[in-house]
Amino acid sequence: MDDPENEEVLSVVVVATADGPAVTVSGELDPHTAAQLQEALNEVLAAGGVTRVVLDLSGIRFIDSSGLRVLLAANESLMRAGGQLTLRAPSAAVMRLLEITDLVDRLDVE
Amino acid sequence: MDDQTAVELSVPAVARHLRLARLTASGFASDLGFSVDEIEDLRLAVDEACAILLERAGDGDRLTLSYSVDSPGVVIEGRCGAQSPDALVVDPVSEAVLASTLDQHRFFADDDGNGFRLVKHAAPG
Repeated sequence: MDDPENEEVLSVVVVATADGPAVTVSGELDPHTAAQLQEALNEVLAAGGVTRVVLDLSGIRFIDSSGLRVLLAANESLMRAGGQLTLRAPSAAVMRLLEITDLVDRLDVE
Repeated sequence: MDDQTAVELSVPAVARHLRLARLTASGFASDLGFSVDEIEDLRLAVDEACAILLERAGDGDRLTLSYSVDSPGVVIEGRCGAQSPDALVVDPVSEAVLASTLDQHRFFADDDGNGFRLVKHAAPG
């Protein structure tokens, strides 16, 4: 997405690893930036043969329900394919939202 | 309600301005001595509530917010035009967020659009 303002507010970096794609997300996930993450995850999943995606969320300063829906959608896609989405080092903001929505035990959190 | 300390914000009703609403909530609550966790909860609540209004906004609509003191906490009121008079629907996830982060919250719809009133009290001490 060619939007300088989005690049400043949210950063999404995808790296191929031996264990599958590693996606590092930093910044603020809200209705304005969630589509940027959605697009990146769609590309990762469209590549085919992906059964595990690790999402590093240590740099998330803010996340709301729109961001959470992107994570849940990716998780569901991977689970349908017999795979898994792993949330690595979720920030305090991410953990707070997962606790509020009672999703901590339903997602793979490292 | 203390009008001398009230802060008002008016922005185009588009998602890119949610950040301003959050920043204003953070600054306002910080000045009133809310804890870090309380500020983060308020930021999230304001964002969720505003996002709900923006879902119904039309081109050219504006989101107006009022942040005021109502001891022992804050009251945040939001208004925004709406494309249709249909009742607001708050999805369960957003409702869970608002219920967990606020002491009171209420949405309403009238001839001028949609709105909300949020109340958060600071913990004593």
